Amino acid sequence: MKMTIQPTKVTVRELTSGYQDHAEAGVVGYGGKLDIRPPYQREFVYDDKQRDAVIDTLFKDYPLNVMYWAVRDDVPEGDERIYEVMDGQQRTISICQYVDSVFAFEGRYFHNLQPDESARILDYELTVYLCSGPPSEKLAWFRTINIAGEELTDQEMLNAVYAGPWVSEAKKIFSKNGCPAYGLGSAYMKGSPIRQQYLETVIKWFNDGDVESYMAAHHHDPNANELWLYFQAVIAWVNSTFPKYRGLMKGLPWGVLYNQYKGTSWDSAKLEARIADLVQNDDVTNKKGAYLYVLSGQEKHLNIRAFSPAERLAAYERQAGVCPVCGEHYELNEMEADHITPWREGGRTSAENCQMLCVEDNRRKGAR
Amino acid sequence: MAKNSSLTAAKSAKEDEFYTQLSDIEKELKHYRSHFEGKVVYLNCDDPRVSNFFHYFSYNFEKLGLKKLIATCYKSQDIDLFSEHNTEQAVYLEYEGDKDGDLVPGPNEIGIKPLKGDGDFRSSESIELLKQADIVVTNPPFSLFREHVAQLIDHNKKFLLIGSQNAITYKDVFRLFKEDKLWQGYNSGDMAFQVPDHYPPRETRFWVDESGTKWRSLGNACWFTNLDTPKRHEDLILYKSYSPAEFPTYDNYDAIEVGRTEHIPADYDGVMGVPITFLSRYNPDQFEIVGSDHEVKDGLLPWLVREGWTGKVDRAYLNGKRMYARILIRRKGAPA
Ligand SMILES: C[S@@+](CC[C@H](N)C(=O)[O-])C[C@H]1O[C@@H](n2cnc3c(N)ncnc32)[C@H](O)[C@@H]1O
Repeated sequence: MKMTIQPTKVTVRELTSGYQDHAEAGVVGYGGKLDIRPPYQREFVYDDKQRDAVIDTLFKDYPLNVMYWAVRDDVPEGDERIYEVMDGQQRTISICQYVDSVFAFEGRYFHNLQPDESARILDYELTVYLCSGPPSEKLAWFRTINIAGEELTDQEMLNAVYAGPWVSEAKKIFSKNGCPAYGLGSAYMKGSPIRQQYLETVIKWFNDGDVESYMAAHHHDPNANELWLYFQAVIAWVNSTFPKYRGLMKGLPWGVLYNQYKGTSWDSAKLEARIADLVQNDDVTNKKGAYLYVLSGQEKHLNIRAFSPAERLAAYERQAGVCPVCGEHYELNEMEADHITPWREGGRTSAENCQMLCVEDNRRKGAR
Repeated sequence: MAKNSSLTAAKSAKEDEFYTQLSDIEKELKHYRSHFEGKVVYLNCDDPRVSNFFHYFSYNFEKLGLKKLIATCYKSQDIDLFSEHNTEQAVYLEYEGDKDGDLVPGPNEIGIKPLKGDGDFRSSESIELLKQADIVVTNPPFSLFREHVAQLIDHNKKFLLIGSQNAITYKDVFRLFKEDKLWQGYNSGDMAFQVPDHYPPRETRFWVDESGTKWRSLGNACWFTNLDTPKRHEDLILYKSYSPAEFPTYDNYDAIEVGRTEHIPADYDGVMGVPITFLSRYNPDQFEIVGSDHEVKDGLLPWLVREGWTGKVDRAYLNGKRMYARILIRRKGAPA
């Protein structure tokens, strides 16, 4: 099946019929058939000027830019919403709210308009492109026309094209304000559930960064238990591996660490002692990296402080400009600073532990 | 010097002519539509015509199904100007809906009637108008907020008012929260208000727009009401569980410290100290307001002071540190 894009005209009368704003539970219009804002999606707010500009356009009968609606291929029984706004959500909400007299334009509410004026608004025709076809093609198309970033984040777009029972269930767990995933993991997670950042992060963890193929594979699953169980396991692992909580733990790639290190048995008391040490060590400039470092042993996570010019100069003077490895004399700018006792063996970034090596010997030492 | 500073104080105390923007009124009022059917609305601290409250209710008269709209213009007769307090005899307006079928309130449809006095909401004339009213909606002068609320409670009226969140800490206002006679509406936080031209510039929260209009803003504006809202019955979702390490007990009160409203533990039965902003999420079916640090200080809640404590009780203290203002709450249905 190929994707089709069918242009159609929708009047403001049709668009705003059956308009209902259920706040977090979503906004519908077009006789209940259009999902203007799906449940648990962040609420866009046009500022008053942008909103007024939309209404002004209707009054002047100028054309508004084309809007895109996705035709849902997977509508559960009893659900009337067969279209979903992909592009044009804010314009649509502005129009619906105005016709519902939620705000005034130039001092008048919609119900204050003279009959000919209100008829003109209701008869205004919007151009809507109805997009139907397989989700992957819809997604590719929406990405091409660059809706992402404008109105929808990438994850919101994915949720729209893969709409179905899996997405609904996943949003209940990961995307509501105060949702279970938030309750369980907010101390460890950055971002906000309603902006779909929890959902996106957890799918990325679970599926090595590939969100789309995971959603395509699970599009028709009846629930999102697999992802929820996974998330619970990640948080439980973090809790038992690092029982002492620090604010630094918020926003670390916990799922990635879990995937890689869950098989090893860690002594949490030892880990804690090392972390306590590292976070107090002035040489460690990236304190968050302590958690990654104790698991991986990779110093790069710590962003260890470089030797200061004064420390370098002190070592250079002490050595009288001679490289201790090759015994040759060099200018200061031809040499590089090196830890005499390596950092991982307890050596500090201090003048006493600094030696200047010629560039070549330093490279050679680093390569060993 | 002393004379001078008391003069400035007197002057600034009077600077409470803050005019509300229409969009702020719309954003709040859209949640209360169903309350207004068949009701008499009274704007008792107003400057009609230029007042956006008057605009909102007159233009929405039919949409809301109002019975009558009344507004007093304090110390003003010129209904097209912001009150300049230049007359001791004021007027009031009455509007009973569109009569000529043009769907908007016209000048001939708005009755302008003289008052004998200056339109003070406490005057007997204003009280007579208040008696006719079902719902009072306004942004009362900040300096008279307490008195304004007290009057509405005395007269058993419904209301929707703009105020500063500081008002929560006023003893009498707080007591109303506690007794479930008043609560916060939907919007709170930043709100910008037009101010009269003669107001002097200020360092912060003041600007002049392109058209030369002066503006001031409040960072802690909020709506106070006794109209029921669905928001007020939404449970706060609790996901933390109690541990003594995370929620330490105060030095002086028999209560635990909860620094952020979202962190209220789901399973703690005793008294908890929460920030004042808790009230914007308060659902009386979920929590009971036990009192405030003020009330402990005033000796109203002796049982909350820890046994044997002889130190200060003016605020909650934790490891010797004086905490910010706290409201003391308890989970509804928790075993006593
Ligand atoms: C904060 S302003 C609000 C004005 C207007 N309702 C609005 O929001 O645009 C307070 C208003 O109360 C009026 N006022 C001051 N003292 C009053 C009093 N004692 N009785 C009634 N109104 C008073 C002032 O003239 C001013 O218009």
